[in-house]
Amino acid sequence: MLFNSIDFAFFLPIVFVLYWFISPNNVKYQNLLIVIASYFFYGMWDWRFLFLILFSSLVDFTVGLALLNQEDWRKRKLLLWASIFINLGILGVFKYYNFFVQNFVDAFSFFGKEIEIRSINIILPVGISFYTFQTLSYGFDVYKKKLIPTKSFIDFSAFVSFFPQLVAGPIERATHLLPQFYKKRTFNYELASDGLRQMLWGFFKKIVIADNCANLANQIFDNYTEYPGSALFLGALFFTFQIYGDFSGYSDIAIGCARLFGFDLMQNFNFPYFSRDIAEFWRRWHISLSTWFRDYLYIPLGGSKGSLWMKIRNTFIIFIVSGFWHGANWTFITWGALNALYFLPLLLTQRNRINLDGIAQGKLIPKFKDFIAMLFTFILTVIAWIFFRSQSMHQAIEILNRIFSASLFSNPQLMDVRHTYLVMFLILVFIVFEWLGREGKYGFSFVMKLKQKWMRWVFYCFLLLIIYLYGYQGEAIEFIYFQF
Amino acid sequence: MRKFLLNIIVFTLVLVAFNIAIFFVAQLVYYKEYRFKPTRKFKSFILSDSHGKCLKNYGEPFLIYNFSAGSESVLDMNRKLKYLIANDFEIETIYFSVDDHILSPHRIKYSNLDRSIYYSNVSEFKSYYQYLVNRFIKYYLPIFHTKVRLVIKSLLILKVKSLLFDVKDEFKTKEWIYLLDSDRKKQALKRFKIQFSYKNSSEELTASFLEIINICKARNISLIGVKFPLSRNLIKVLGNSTYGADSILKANGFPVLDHKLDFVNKDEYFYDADHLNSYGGIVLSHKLFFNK
Repeated sequence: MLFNSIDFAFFLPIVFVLYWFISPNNVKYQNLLIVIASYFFYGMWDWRFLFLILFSSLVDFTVGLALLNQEDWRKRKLLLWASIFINLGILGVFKYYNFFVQNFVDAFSFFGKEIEIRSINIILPVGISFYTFQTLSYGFDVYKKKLIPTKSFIDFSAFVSFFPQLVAGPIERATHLLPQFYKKRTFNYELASDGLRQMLWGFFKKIVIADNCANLANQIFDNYTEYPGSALFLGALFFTFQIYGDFSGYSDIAIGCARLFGFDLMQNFNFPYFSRDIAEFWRRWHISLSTWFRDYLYIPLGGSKGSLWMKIRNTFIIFIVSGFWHGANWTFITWGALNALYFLPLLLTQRNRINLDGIAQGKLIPKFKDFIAMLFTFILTVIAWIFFRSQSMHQAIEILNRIFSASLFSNPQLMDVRHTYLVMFLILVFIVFEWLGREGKYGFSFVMKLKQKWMRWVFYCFLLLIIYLYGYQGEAIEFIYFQF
Repeated sequence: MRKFLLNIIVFTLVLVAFNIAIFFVAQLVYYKEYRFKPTRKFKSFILSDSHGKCLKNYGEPFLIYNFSAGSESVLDMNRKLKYLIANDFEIETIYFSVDDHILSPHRIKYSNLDRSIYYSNVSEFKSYYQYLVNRFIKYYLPIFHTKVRLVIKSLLILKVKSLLFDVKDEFKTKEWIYLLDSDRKKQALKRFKIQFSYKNSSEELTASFLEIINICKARNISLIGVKFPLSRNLIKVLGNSTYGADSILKANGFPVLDHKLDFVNKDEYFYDADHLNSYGGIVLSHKLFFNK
């Protein structure tokens, strides 16, 4: 079920009413309702996916219980590896099998040996990478004794399948989310109304910004051979805003929706395009995944400690794995490697933690130096997104070749110029709102600074009207990150 | 919780009021051609896209009901035919548009499927739920309907424009007869490019058309193909281009009334490159119905 669908417009109020009115004081019933609602939400894509999530939940729940009574470290390690093997095995089969088979065949063919291995036609279950990583975090934390495993399968299933963040995150840590399922939830007006506000902002990002940008970006990327460098750069810019609007929009809706049920999810985006260097960008982009990799991969590998070689190796590993997490394609791996190349000079010169606070704190206008740094970082990001968006390495390189040519300064020759200008204007409005709200948790939170209630309502109505009039006119588009 | 619910209720009421307003506007503008149903007295029906609209209700004295609608695709016409059959109409004749463009894949992109849903039944959908959403929820809650949204937006823009500029005059000069020949050529070429930008006909539309033919054969309904008149400029640009609906019909043993070239020197009969104006419609209806 998509957030931006009629189904969800009916689903959410029904679940909300059942949740708070049928059993407001019974946590068990509320958790059971969350599981049922979440399975229904997920099953709307394809009911067969439910077996997979149920199996994944059963495996980690059982491993958790086994770890509870197991003090022998060798056996504990064995249990942890069993969990890792099964979870990554499922992910490997459903997401990466065909990629490995194809590359294996290509490698043999390169050395003159033709082999035949059948690729398999599998549907990629929506959001599989998200819930797999969430259940993996549970196994890790129980193994490290940071968390006492739950004895209730309902609570655990609710944690794994919690519908607001099930298919596209934020990837919650068991230490943060699971305990919230044990506690009695009381309705909090401020939390719930802020949740609705954040959802509204998320819908604006998705329906107005991301979907309109997607329309233009798709048109340019799908016909890239017909466009000059200037149009391709515009296409990359549109994709830059599409992916941000799409993914952070989803996160805003998820976080806001969870608040309606009394849950606090972690912040997933912190205005990444206002970053002044790549290190700052990665502290602000897809925070739940970056910190997951940091805690469960980068630090166990040694992190930024150790020799120069170790630092370089670890940086490349974490970025390449992050790229690979997004999809089984060399374009994602290159995107990850390119970000590692961006990041490495900062790490090696120990300048990766100089921009820890937000840009222009307490001011409206940034310093010129900060502005230039922000612009430079943004352009680096745009270039990296070209790899992320392209279907193949050949396409990405061809697009970059055209962008870095004289045609960058030519007329873009876009089909629908008026619509392009309109989308550009909407992006500008979006950037202004994000800038005004950058010290809050989401862009639209700046309205809370307005003292008069009616003024806040003017903004809500304005946003609703923009969504209604300028929301993408085609059929609802799925969120990009569902495919991961 | 009470404060929250109160706010939600107020907000929902505002939304409902907005929805009601949109609903009425949508009824007047978007569903205009779909608010009418034929009565059982009619024995013959015209199933066409916008080309058939010029015939208005001129066929009614002959018990011919004009079931045409703008942007109608073969899929929409198929739905209408099935609707008539499902509602036990005694159909004798179907006048069916077999213009050169009628099987163009362009019509898949821009069809009336969301409007002709009114004539659909549950068997067309994967589930009852899909039927419920598409047939009723989107209809009664047009705030969720993307096409209605587009219409409302266009109306608003037009309203703002008409307040700022003199839009009326702009429309007057649009009538075909008032255009310069160079503008007519441009418009004809534009029309051609829209309808004939695809190499082959749409498989989906062709399949639906064949289904219509088979239904008519099975039920002994007399199916008559009609090719509507085109302007001189469009005929010139069109050349031999066709997606061949008329040939399919002829191959299946049904007749085709070819009026394509009838008004080749009568620009005053046209509203634009391929649509007749009221006067042209009257002349054509005489040819179609009086000479039966």
